[in-house]
Amino acid sequence: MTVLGVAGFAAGLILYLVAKKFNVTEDPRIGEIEEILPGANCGACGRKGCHDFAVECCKAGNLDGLYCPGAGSAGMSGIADVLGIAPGATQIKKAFVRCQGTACNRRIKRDISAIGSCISAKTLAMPEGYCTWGCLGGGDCIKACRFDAMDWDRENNMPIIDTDRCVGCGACADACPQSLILLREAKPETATVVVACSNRDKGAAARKACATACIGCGKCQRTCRFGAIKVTGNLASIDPALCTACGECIAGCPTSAITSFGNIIAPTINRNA
Amino acid sequence: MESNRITVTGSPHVSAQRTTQRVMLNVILALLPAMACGIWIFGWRSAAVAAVAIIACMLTEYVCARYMLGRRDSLRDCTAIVTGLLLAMTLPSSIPLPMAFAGGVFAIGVGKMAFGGTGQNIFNPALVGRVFLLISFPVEMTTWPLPLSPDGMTGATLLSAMKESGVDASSIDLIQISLGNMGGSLGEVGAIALVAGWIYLTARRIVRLVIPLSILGAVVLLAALTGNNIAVELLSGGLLLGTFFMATDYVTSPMTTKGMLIYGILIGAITFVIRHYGSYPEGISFAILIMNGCTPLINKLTRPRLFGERRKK
Amino acid sequence: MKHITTFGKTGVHPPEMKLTAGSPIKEMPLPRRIELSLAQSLGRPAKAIVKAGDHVSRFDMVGEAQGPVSANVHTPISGTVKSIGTITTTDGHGAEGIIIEASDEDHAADLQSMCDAAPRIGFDAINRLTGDEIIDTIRRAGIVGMGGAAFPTATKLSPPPGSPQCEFLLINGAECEPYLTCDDAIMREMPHEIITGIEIMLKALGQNVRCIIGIEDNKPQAIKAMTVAARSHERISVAAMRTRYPQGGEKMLTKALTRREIAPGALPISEGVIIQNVATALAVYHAVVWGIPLVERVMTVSGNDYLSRCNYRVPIGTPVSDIIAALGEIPPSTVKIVNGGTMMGRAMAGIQGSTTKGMSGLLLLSSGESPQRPSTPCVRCGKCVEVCPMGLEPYLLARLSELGRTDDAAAHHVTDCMECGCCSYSCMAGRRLLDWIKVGKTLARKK
Repeated sequence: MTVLGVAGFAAGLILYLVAKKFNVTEDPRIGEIEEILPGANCGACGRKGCHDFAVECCKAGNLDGLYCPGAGSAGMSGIADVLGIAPGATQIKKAFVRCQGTACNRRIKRDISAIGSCISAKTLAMPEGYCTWGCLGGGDCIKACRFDAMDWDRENNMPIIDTDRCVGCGACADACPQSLILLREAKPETATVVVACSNRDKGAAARKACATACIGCGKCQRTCRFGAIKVTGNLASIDPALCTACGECIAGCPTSAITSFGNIIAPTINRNA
Repeated sequence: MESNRITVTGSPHVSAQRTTQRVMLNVILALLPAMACGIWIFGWRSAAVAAVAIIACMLTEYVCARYMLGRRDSLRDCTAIVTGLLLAMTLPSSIPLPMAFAGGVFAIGVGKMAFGGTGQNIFNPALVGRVFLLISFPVEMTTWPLPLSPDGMTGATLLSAMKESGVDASSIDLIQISLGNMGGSLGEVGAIALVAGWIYLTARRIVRLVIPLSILGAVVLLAALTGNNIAVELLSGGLLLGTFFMATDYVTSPMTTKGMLIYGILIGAITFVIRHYGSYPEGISFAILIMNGCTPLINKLTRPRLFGERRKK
Repeated sequence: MKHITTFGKTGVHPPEMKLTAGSPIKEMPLPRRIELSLAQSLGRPAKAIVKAGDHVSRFDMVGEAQGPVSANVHTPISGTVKSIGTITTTDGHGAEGIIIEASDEDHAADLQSMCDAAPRIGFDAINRLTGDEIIDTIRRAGIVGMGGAAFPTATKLSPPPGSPQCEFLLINGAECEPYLTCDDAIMREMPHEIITGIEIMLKALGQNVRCIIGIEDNKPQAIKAMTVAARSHERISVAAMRTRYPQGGEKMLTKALTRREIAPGALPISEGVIIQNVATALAVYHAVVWGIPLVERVMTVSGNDYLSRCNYRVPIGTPVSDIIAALGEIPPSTVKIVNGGTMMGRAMAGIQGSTTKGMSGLLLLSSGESPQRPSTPCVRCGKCVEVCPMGLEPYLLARLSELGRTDDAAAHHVTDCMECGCCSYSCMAGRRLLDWIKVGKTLARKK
């Protein structure tokens, strides 16, 4: 009995000393910040996971260059509160797919028995005239999304992005072997105008492949009053810094390759005029 | 029109003829002689037990796959039939039919579907079912009807007789027991039929020789070292049934030849130890289940050698 | 002849389906229009050195190699350069290419020049050539490995300084792929030419190099022909190998013929071995003795239901539709068109594109030959592990790739997979193991 008691006491003492010696005091704010973070460990912030991000926030003492798309601006101001500093200005980015090559828009279709992977689908043969730039339909982006913001549109054979849920982490963009997904700033007050096509083939070939292909005609470039659109390599691109989301290019595009997401905007020019 | 019929897939563009379904049908075929032997020895009640166990397994498989995994075609690969048949063959023919049914439900439900269905289970489902019954209903599971006795006389198996009543091994008629004229579960008694089934599976290259030979080799070696009767050791109990049809189960056995060797030798050794030094008369079920649990570890330790990789000095 | 040998217990033995074995090499009529891809070798595509509207003569160089792993491209016909730009390839992805069309005069001149052809140098002159001269001729002729990888031969024959001394020149006549018989055909019909090609390469490699020609034992006529042709050459021997796929893979061939194992990720030269295909040896012969660049190759056009199947000598750049037009319509039962063999070849999306230097076969497969199997759960039978010639665990790699666990897949050596397809072939659950492993390889390389 005595022996056991002494042994127990000694063991307890050793445990206490060891705990004291190897005690790591963690900044309690790290835990608080982690509570705010989504905990998806998506890596969109550029860190290994949410814990690393929280540690970095505490270490840096300010939020320069630190932004968690998952937490959003509300979350970031929460983190700023924890740190006792003023929240910085944040940019909300949303992902969009630069392809509208849906089952009905594509004129030349592909019959493959793929394994549900875009990387695999990309290596397989494509029929003559098929758009080699567009969506491969393997769903890699959907698998990559940690915020349940992407879903498969069975009817169109394309992914769809729920812009409300999208936090702009860019995981889908990294997963897409065709580099179809781009992150663009979503302005709260207007829509975001985008070129939803990646086809760089010459106009005739692009048009043959898909009804909604950018044929590089340059009409949008001429229409834009702000010089925001440039056509290079048979593909239009919009400079987000210059775009005012007036919508004239959307109305003018002969193949509806230019479209918008976010708030619905009324085109200022009638399409039929 | 033309290009629509052409399919595009990744290579290779040909495949071997073997499918899971075909393999399982072959296993069933290989089990049939031993099953017939059981019916011949213990009467038609054996067939009823087998039918109940198979129905229980198939029903459980279908319900679980359909409503838990959302898979409709899981019965097609015939693995549930194999499990049911194997389970029945480890049961005494006198077992009450509801118990056989419960064993089948447990085997598939807990032994297989709880892990995620075909290919995901760690333990051999049929043995999980058998051990469940053995622990839950020890009396019914160890009441063995005597062979060729329609009046329901019961007795002990060879192993339990040897263990408990000290029957001398040398007094046993080997020819009689290899023909199945002994007490035991309905599938384990027909040694010749079991061997025939195994030879068929081996000739069709469905099972490899490594596991059965290493189990039997280990048992023979241990029996010889301890001065036991080798033939009785091999022919009695469920050793042959377990060795040929349960230890060789694809899902729960190791992948590489080296792994199979370790797995087989340890099954043989554990079986022998339980038989002679444990409290149960028969140990093959436990030995296989224990080694099933070790299979992931064995797989990890016996990776194949990468081509061209030099051994570290 | 050496004793029968093979690379080990791994691999598979699919039905050989050598439907065109023993059929003579048929000559394709010279096409009037060719679509010549400039990306016919590993490495960077060649650069076009002609303009649209230029007139080119047969065997003229039209594309210039860009760097050591790129190869020159020559035209097999005389004619006018129609356009330079993206052409359709057999895989439909498109590549930079040159379209050349022959007028009636061009065509007539080509036919005449074929009749007038004569060797450029005599056999005794070969002995006077230096190694550098030979390698230079091979480089200029745009010769690449014709087994499929399309690695420039000249670069392979001149190992970088500091690499081990070459001891063996292994000539790959294994042709382990089902259906394909083009290498068999050239070995049967042109053994002396191949041996001369080998001699030329041996000369370029130096005195101490021995040559072993490895041929699988399902080609007894080829073994016999090559053995007879090699009889008077003491540095060249013929070895019969037990038929086993993937024996034509460079590591497997090296193991089978020399018992040496090339380390993972290493080149054959690390074991003192250089491997060339028999068709490459033939191309070397044509380039050095006749001065003809690599502008044609023998390919197998086959399929169980394709009755006009044969070994076909085809100018490189011939549209696939021309081959079908010349030989006969594709049978209505065709469900798959394959560029190459059934194990490693690539399924085509239709009759499209043109032939390249590495295209060894055009297979028209019916559903009976190439069945589509549903994918069922893995039963962990271990067959894929048993057959994998690289000693990998395909079931595990495929699963890790599917789950996106790239780091784990890389730790299990996913990048050492040679994509032979033995795992998918033998999978009883019909799982597309190789497809997933390829995904894992791509992701592992990206990291």
